[in-house]
Amino acid sequence: MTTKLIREQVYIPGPRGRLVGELSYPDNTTANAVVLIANPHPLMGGAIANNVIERLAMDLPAHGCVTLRFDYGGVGHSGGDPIDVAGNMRQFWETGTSPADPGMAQEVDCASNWLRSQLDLPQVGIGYSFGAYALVSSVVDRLASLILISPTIARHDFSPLSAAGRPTMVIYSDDDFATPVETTQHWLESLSPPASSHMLTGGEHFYRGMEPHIVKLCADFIVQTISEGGGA
Amino acid sequence: MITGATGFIGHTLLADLLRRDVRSAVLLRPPLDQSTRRLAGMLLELNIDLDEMLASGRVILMTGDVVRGLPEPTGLNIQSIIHCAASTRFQTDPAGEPRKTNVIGTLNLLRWAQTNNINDLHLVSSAYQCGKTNRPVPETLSKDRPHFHNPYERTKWQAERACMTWSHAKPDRVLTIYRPSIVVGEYNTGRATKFSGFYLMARASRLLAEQYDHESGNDDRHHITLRLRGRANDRQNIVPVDHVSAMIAHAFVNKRFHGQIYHLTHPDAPSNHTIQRAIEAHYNIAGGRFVDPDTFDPGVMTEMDRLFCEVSRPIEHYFMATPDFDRGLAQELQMSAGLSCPAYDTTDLQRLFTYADQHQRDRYRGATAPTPKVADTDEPDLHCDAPLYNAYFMSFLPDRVNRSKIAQATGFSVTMRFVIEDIPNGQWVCRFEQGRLIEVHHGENTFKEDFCYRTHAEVFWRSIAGNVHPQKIFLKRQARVTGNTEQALKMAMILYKFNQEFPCDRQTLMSEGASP
Ligand SMILES: NC(=O)c1ccc[n+]([C@@H]2O[C@H](COP(=O)([O-])OP(=O)(O)OC[C@H]3O[C@@H](n4cnc5c(N)ncnc54)[C@H](OP(=O)(O)O)[C@@H]3O)[C@@H](O)[C@H]2O)c1
Repeated sequence: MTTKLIREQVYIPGPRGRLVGELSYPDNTTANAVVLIANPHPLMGGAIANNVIERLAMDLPAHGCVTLRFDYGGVGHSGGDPIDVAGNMRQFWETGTSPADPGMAQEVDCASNWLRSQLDLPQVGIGYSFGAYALVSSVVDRLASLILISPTIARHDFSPLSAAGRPTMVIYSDDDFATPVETTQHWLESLSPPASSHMLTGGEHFYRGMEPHIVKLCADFIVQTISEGGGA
Repeated sequence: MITGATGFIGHTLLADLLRRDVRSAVLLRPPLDQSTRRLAGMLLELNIDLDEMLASGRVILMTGDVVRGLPEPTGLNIQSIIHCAASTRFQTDPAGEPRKTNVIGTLNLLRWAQTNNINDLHLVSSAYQCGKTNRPVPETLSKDRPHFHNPYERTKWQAERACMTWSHAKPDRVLTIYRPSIVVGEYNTGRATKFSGFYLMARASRLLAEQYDHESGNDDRHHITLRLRGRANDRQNIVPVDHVSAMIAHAFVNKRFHGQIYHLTHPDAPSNHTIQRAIEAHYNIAGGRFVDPDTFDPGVMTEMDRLFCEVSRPIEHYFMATPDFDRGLAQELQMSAGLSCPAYDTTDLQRLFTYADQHQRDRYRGATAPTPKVADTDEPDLHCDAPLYNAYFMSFLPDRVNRSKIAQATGFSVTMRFVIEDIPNGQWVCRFEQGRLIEVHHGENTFKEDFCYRTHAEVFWRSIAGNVHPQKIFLKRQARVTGNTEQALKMAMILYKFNQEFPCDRQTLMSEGASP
């Protein structure tokens, strides 16, 4: 039986105006988990139409998940002033971080709360690139488990992850421009409790053509952690 | 001897001739090694091993050019010429094409045939040598000079006249003329080596569809308000290249078919409406409609109407008033060869688009498929515009960057290289210091750049118009980045904002003094 996908546009109250997102869920299967997906940085093109984000949002429902992806404020149809490229780019050019970063982490927090108010199911977070930081810095305590794809550990503080002790999976590539592979592996070794991890050779940071493989890894991890009843 | 063997029709025909054991001398343009490599690659796709053919003496290579000079055929016993070389650009370019190759080149070839006592000539002409007409076009030489849609048609008509004059000058000379209509990819596979003309509409639709691809959850793609100049029931006379080639090869090896003119046209060509349906189904868009050219109001064109008009201008006349070609002789030839010209439904048409899309994608993956060199056509946006690219990088960009808010606010320092792969000498290095563009160099050079964007002309024009996000282009593999990817992506965001601040197109550059 094929799973019919329902896609519903949703509006989430955010600190800078309403965030526009898309909730995707299976029509004829019971969902076991909700998955909150956090986008890469908008200054790097982070939006819900990103190749990895879109595939996860559309394909995970076939594995019994409800997914939520949304655009940060000022991006796509989300409210708020368009991201101030001129104001943020000088710092971003130098450091890969921007003054707007904490605001976006706060929006992830709003999305998580909204999702919780709508659906009483274990919540799993998937953060891609900057989105990994946005998740870890805002809602890690509330998640049943986390999946971090190309986390920007060379730029942002990921220390709340260990403190929360949630089951975590990390997907990274051996040729990621944002984080040298040794840095990621060293960080993985330092995590306690340890995270499971998968290195995708040649994924760069973009994983073009590898999206189905990523979906499979995420689906397996979610099924496993939910059935083990981990987390909140 | 065959000319134009590295071309779309030429290489298919050469393969068909070799399969029929016709020993062939092939005229290749210098540099010989490059042309040979291209030809070998194309033949290999048709399961013909050029090395083997050369070793067994079934193919002999000659180097020359119908305009610049033809070789001495020393020691070769050439009995026939198949003249397939041509410039297929519709409009005149600064180098004098298509007249130079199609008229002067043909006259040179006729002189060469005379010198070398070759009396059997097969000319690949065009069904559209008939120009504008609403009468049935006979398979004979037209007595009166027609009105032409473009210089290309005129040159094909002139070449036919020149060949006819040559053949009438001596009784033992025989001239056979083949007039294909619009030649498209192989019927069963869609395989083609050239994607101009008929493919332009599909290409414009693909660009449009890609824009909608980025806007997920958007139903607008099925309600496009696009008007196309043309009549839905008019037909576009397309024929598959394998059919054209098989017909010519059959006529060539059967002397009784020599001395005639054949319309290698489709007896039941698909209508504009069928083609539109196929394009829309293929790219998952809908809503375009043909508007009769007599009632089309250009005063109320939308941006999308304008884009399509621009892309399809060179082929616009094919959307309407397609002539009615007599096919009596072609029909006889076809029956003798046991061939039929296959009908096109939407699925058959979609095969053509699938192949063209795949070919396009491979170009950006750096696939090593033996892509023929850039064809000599007038795709509106590419090669004839070479000076406009230079005007953009050498004049527009320095002027506007130094006035740009985004560049000043960001204050970046970086050296970047742009490569436009399908433009001759299409590379520029730009050095920025604190948000100011302080140096631009054109052409190959040894500057050390921080990163390089490689793309092609079509994407370049879309980007600088501010219509598309460069990062999306990168993620869709329509551009490649080498060097510092992170800086390149950040720069892509700055360029996007810059392109929105100062959008640019051909008109802008021309109004600032650049000439295409
Ligand atoms: N394609 C169509 O839809 C179509 C329709 C009707 C009629 N035709 C006619 O069919 C013939 C072949 O067309 P095509 O589509 O196969 O063209 P094509 O792919 O553009 O190939 C043109 C060929 O001519 C060669 N050539 C160009 N200038 C030359 C010169 N000065 N000296 C020697 N060789 C020269 C090219 O060599 P390089 O590879 O070295 O450039 C190439 O091999 C032409 O006569 C064309 O008018 C084509």
